[in-house]
Amino acid sequence: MIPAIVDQPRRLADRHRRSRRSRATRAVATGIASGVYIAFAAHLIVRGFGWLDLDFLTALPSRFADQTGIGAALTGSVMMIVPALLVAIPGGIIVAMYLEELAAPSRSTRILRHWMNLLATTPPVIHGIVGLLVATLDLGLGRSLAAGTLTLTALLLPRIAIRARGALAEVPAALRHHAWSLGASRWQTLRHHVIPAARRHLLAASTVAVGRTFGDAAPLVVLGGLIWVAASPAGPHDPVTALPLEVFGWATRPEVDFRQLAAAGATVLLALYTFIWALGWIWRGDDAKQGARR
Amino acid sequence: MITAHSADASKTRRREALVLAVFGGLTILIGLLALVLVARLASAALHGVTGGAEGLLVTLPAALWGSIFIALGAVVLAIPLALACAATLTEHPRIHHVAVPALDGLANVPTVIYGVLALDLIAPLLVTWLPGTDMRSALAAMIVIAFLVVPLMTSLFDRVLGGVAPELRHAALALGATPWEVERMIVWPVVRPQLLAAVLLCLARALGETMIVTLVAGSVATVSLDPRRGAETLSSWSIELALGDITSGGPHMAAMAVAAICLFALVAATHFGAETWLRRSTPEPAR
Repeated sequence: MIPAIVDQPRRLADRHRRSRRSRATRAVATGIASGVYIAFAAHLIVRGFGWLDLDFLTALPSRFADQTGIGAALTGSVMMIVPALLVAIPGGIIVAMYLEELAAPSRSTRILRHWMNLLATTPPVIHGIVGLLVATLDLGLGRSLAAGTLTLTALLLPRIAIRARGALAEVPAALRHHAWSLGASRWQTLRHHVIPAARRHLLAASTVAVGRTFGDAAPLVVLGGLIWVAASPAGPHDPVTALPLEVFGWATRPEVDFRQLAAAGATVLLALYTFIWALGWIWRGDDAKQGARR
Repeated sequence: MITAHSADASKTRRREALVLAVFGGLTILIGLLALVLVARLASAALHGVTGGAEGLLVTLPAALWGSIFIALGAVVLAIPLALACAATLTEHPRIHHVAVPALDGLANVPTVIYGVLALDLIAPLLVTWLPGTDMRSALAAMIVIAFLVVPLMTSLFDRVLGGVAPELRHAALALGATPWEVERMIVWPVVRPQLLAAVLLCLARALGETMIVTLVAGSVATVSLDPRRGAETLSSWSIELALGDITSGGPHMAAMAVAAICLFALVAATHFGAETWLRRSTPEPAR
């Protein structure tokens, strides 16, 4: 590598000019990239704004959804994600604690870690297809709330596990070494030292995974199709609709009105996602204020 | 005192064993359950192949090609942007504590939102700016997936570049290299395996992207190198099959299982490629 520099008899001033130019290029590229995301959000809001009126918004809590309301979709989404969340957050954190802290280093542990990572990267459509195959047909649940919840649980658990592992790995190793050297067992170290240090990060790690899973349309489209559901489900065997599903359904329509409705629905989805993400940020807190962790 | 202590110690040991058994058992159970589900999917796919599921000879090769083509195109578009963003981040460590959670948030935005944007904004723009582009084109999907992948790639790159020992940079600077030369000639070659692993992880993400391709890629089941035409992917094919009529064990269901198992195999291969690169470049940390 070094000879490459020596071989090119370029003047020092040229080399420094080039360095400055590349730095400017990178800064401009970064600025453009950030600008694009802001433009994306602005476009959605502008396009859907006309539809975000009182009708659209008052339909939210009313539970009566005509074609232009998202009340049933919102309640459906929440009813599907909440049971999934109650199972997947503790489950994911237990899996993460075992894989990251408790398991003895061995070949089988390594394979299990790789398998869990792969499950977390598996595209959500596949979860939908497996859900359709197993929950809907094999278990005979039909296209129902129960099938949707099972699918979302399977989607959420590995995602939370992988993020919780990251949160645990951020705790300095010295903390564990101190506890072990004083005779604490692995579980005692985890219970009394690692978890208190990582608690805020574990919560924050879960929130983004929940937000992403809440907005995943692909598994629900496969599972439920685009059936129009006019009411919120009363029981686990009732058909259900969800906000991302509704947005996708509107987007597939050719009419301009429905396209704008899709933008309005996407704006609401984005706002909800941002809210969940912001919760995570608040829980995570400012590390700089509470002492560096790395 | 001594007996009390030893009783205490044995109680601790017993609790330790119990926790290990419960947590480990639960983890292994979840892993095995997932394995059973994948096996069920594979058996349904096998059933479909032997039973002659529809579209296996025509749509499947086109969908495989389209998936790989669109994902590769998106990742190639994303690499320079992500490198630039990551380099800017490493240069300004003070914005890190804001930028890292922001990137994490951007990387996990529900993709149906990007799908709506692709349909509403990017596809019409492409039609006006690039005459000859179809309203539904592989190019539009590539561009939007690239923007979907950039935050993930940036945070992975940033972690890789930030993990380089500062001594390396300082030594090169002390020998008279300019900052750009340090990055391009010293730092990037050193971390090339990790950068490649990060790119592969993003490729896995791009391969599995569903909503954007379903809405904007057009589902034209042909093998074509022209990104201005429509394309079919494994995920968009599954969605189209799902929106059709599905009866228990019908030909649609079998074709979906085949598409899903192909997609799973693609993603798994990419993912393990990434993990192999990572393992080769860094020794397992001692715990």
